[in-house]
Amino acid sequence: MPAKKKSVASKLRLGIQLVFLLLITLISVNHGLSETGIQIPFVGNPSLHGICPFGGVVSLYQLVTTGSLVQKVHEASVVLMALVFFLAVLFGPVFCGWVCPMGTVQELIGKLGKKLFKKRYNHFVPSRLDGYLRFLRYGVLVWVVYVTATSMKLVFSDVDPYYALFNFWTGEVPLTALIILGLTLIASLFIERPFCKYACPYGALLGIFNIFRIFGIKRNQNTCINCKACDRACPMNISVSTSTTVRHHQCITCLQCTSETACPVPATVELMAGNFSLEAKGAQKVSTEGGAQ
Amino acid sequence: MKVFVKSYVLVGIIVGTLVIGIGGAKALGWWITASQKVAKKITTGDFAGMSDPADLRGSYTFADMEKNYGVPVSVLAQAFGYTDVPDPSLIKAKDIEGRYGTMGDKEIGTDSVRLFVALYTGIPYPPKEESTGILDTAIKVLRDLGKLTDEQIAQLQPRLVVTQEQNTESPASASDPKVPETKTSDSGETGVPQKVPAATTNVDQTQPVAATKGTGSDGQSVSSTAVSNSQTQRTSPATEATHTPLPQTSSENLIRGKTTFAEVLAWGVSKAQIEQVLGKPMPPEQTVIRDWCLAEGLEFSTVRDALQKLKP
Repeated sequence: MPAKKKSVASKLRLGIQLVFLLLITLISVNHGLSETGIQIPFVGNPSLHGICPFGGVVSLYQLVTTGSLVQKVHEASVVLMALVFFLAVLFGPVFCGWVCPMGTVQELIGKLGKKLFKKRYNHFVPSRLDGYLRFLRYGVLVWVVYVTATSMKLVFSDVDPYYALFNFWTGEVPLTALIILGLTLIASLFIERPFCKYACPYGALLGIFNIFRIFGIKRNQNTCINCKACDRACPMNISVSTSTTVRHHQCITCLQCTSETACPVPATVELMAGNFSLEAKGAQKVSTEGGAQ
Repeated sequence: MKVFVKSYVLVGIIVGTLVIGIGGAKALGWWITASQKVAKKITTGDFAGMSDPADLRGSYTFADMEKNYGVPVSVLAQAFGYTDVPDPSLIKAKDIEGRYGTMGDKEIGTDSVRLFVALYTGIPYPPKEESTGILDTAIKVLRDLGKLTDEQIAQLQPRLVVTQEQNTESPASASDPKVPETKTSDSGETGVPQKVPAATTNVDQTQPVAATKGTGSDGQSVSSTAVSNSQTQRTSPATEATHTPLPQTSSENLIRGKTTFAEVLAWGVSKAQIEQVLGKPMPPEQTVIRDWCLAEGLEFSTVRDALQKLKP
């Protein structure tokens, strides 16, 4: 089956991603300019730490125990954390797939990687090793939460490529964060969203919502022609074609696998509540886990 | 029941959730993206509910201090020598560090402001460093306002730093015969505040006698600085050390105003460790740490404390 030409859904997603990327870039530049008296109109100038939803997560322990937030984190982070959690309960990690500028930058570099390596792109890491490595980010999550809770400092900023990406010109970014950013950007030429897959603690946390989200990625087995176009389209290498409901912890709800985008058969892979199998005769039992390819 | 969500609907929900959520948070006053400069409160003891001087940050302006601790801007300006600036309310605690910094073996910086605020409010605050100094002008202001007893003034002598402007008459001592006399160094340059290292060497500065106790916002026990008679008695006469500024002894592995990165490296600390603390590449080894902090807009005392911890 020939690949579909770029769908409206793909363009829409790229557009939204670029809007958020531009917004965060402008905010960061504005923050840097704030001490000079120059300001970009209609854009705020908060520190990125102050509007990072993950800042709310790492502050939770301190917030509960002392009523205060970790240094550099502000109330806006807690608000964003709650909003992203709300979206995650509904749709899983849509923040990762549609909003996160770090993910967007990795994807943009990945487009170059796709041109360079064609089909080999995003398949350099052996699948077994890849499967294990993907749990690394949970280790990072536990480490970050624990160390932040005990030190009451924003320790992750020392290694955070997201902060480094939008502040590298300020001279405030620790060398370790710059190195991790560099490695991430280079790795993005070979692997789709390498930081998201292997190291992002926030992605790890949001990924848990895939287990119980209300609207899931569902595949209609009755109409599926098993062309595996969904598998090939998935940036996170999830095997959609073997699932009836994708509950893989790395799904980012990018909709690249759906009938709006990669799937050539209408109403076969969809973001939906409810289940195809309820009305399809002879449908197989719902799979609860889609493995990575 | 099946409910399909198409991409454009998903976009609408994502953007709508963020816009409505952030807008609602703004309406409720929850959308705060910068420090409100609100100091933590003391949670227990006699001073429970009051702002903790220990939480005073280098970024706090005199106006912030007035708001948090009730110390008038004019009092702070007078205490720290900012009476000639157009708007002293904008002066930050870290500006004081930049203006005075290390003087002999004492340091006038953010911790000095904490100490001053604590003395003004009567809230116990043990300075974080032995080297924390207090300006003679600050003591004069506190004394004139009736915030200090003679005993307290005597106890503060080891921390006293006399400014050039007070060369001829130390306000802390001139009208108070109980306070050991202090003078400025002969070698002081015009207009540069000079520390008189008088009466520091024989005094145990680590034993404030607690009249009241409480728990600070950082969980540390704090005690008041009521005067210990034994301390007063052990204070040496000012004349013993008046004209002899204490040397910058790197052998003690203490970072002071003139300490260079090379000296820290000489402790056996690696360049990588230093850069980890600095969060950026280390400048040339002979760079004075304090000068570098000022150039980078960083608080010297914070960097100093972090580097100090690297001491093997």
